[in-house]
Amino acid sequence: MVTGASARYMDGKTSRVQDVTLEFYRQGLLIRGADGETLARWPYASIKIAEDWSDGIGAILVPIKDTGEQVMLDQKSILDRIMRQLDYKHRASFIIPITIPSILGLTVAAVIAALVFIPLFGKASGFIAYLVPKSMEKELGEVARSQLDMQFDACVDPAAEKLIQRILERLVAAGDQTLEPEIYLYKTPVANAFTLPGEKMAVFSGFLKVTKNENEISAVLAHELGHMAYRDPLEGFIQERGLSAVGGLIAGSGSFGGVGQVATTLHTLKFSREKELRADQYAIKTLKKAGYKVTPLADFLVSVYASVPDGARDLESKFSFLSTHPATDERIRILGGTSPATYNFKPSLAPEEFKRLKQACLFAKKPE
Amino acid sequence: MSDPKPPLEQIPTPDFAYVGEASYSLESEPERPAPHQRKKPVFRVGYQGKAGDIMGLHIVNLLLSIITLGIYSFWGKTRIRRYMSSHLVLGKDRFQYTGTGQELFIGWLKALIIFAPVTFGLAIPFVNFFIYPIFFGVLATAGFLALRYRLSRTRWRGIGFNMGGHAGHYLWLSIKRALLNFVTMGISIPSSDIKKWSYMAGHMRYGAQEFTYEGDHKRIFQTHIITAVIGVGLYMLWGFYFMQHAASLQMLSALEGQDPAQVTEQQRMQVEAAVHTLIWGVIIPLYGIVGVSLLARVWYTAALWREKFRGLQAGEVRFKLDITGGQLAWLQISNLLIVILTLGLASPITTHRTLRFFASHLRVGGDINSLVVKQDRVKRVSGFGDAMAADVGFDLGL
Repeated sequence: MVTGASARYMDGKTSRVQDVTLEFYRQGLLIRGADGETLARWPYASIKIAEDWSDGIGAILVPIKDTGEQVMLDQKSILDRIMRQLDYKHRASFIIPITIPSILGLTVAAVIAALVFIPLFGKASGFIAYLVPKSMEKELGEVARSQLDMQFDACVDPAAEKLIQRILERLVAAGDQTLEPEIYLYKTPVANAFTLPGEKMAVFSGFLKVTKNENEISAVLAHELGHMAYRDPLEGFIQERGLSAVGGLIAGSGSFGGVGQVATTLHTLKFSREKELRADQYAIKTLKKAGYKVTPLADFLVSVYASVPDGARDLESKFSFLSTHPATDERIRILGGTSPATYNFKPSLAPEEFKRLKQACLFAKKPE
Repeated sequence: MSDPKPPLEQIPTPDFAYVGEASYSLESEPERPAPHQRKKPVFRVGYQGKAGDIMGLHIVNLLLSIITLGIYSFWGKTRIRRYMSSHLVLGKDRFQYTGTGQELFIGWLKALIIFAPVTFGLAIPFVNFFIYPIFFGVLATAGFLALRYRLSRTRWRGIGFNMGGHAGHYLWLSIKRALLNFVTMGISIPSSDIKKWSYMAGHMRYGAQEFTYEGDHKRIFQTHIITAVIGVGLYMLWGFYFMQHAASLQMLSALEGQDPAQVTEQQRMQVEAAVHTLIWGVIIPLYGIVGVSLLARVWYTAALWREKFRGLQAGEVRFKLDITGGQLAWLQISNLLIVILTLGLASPITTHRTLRFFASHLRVGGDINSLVVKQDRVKRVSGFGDAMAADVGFDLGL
């Protein structure tokens, strides 16, 4: 038995603080009060460090089984002596120390984890999307469509829809024949068309208006059918939600939340770009098989690209990793480059029908 | 009838009172005078955390969170809370945080079951009409739930804090006060803030020792009115300016859908002028007004915090937070600059600075050394409330 050191003891029953003496015996500590009586006997196997040493405020020892008792130590040498007797996991309040070697080791592990988990996550999302019943996907599509209805003017133009449907039938016959695309027209100057979950396709009148021929329309629709065939909107939804959940968790820890969110956003964008390229590949195959030319898709991209101001175009090439779509140059290369303005293809629409389609929504009414 | 509780301002600061922020030592405590002459001692809460430690903790948290796909974040959050709590010192004694990552993780899973459908419902038009009240209900009780969890996991001198009350009662109080604030056009905000704090503070306990709270909203009313008038006045000026230039701004959409080849030089110049007005006359002044009005409200926030502590009492122990609007504004501006200039990398430091700021301005009046409080049966609340609070972005910054 060795006489020990002074410390402060709280019994967990009241907030009374007692000045005590710690005495060491072979298997643990004896806590003695001012008048020498034994207040507690703590075997080393039953205690742990609750609060690590900090200069000026010492450290706190407690029983492993929480009784509310605690001993406050203000001598580092005494703490070190006790720590040597404790089980490794009880020597500090946390197992992983904040040291340069541990941070370096964790950095390497984090990089490896990111390289392994993120591609795995992309694959897993595709698999999960495959498992989602089509009926549920349709419900999701309805939600997305109702949101779109609030942002843009939906229009009912049966004549235009019929003409689009005719092009789509030709493309579906040449590609994934199980697809049953539903068309939703919106009156807006924005030149765009995109796919929603549940085999729904939104087509903006602005897009139809700027096309120069039927092949341009079919090229863009074939690209959108690619998204539909791969269930990209649903897969994207799962990826985006999953990654944002991980980002949210990291952000929730308060530790560089922004970093976590930026990283997950960048990966969401990367997945999005991969889907665009996949849809382009689908469009190439389908257009060829349907008797359309592929190059109008590239031509259409060029015409959209040309309308972008020079500065923004420069930014797009430098910061393509921040975009949902791959750089236009890259897509044009994959699509086999551009071609002269005239194409030799067999149209499904008569010239006056194409002209009518370009005027979609112009004379239409809003849906009831 | 005389007031048995003299205001804290009247408690004279004794000679031995807190000497320097880095020390908790009371070695210099003087000989005690006779009871009738005895002045109430005043203690300051010390915060001994180090910015380097905090940065290290956050870096390790981030890395472990990446490795575990975010799951470690609950343990990481706990580790930071424990560090911060255990480096707060009152008297000679450190506070302790006894919450665990597992509790937060389970709380998060429970909260997810409720919050996932709510989030999904918010995205559905018309359905969200019924979901929004649930969302705002969670938002209204978030502070109460988070504080209750954290108090139940905080100890000082081995005795735990606790907060009773019902989230439902607090929610009802919040709804009533929100309606009143709306009807009175914000005039009753100070009274509502004090009432809500009064509910929370009145249900707080340290062991068996109950806290009481007697706040006076009139003390912060003037600050509220002045700071609100600054904000409202600026918005009105901006609105007046906007109305005057509304006609020229209409040019922004005049060319929508028009063939670029058919745009005349005059139209182009009109659009350019409209864009100039939009940026320099509308958007930038609006940001400026938002900034100035938010900054003005910092003075109200400081006054509210002072009042929250001024009326708080635990037995004979009283509290005083001597922060000013200017100090709080500087803290918030400097924190913002730190975040911006380091691209967010030093954001953990801002939490550290905020805690140090509040700790260094908090005084505790009364003889805490002779305060003997019995441990009380502590109601174990789950981490659910804390997780719900975090879900609506109310994370207390810790």
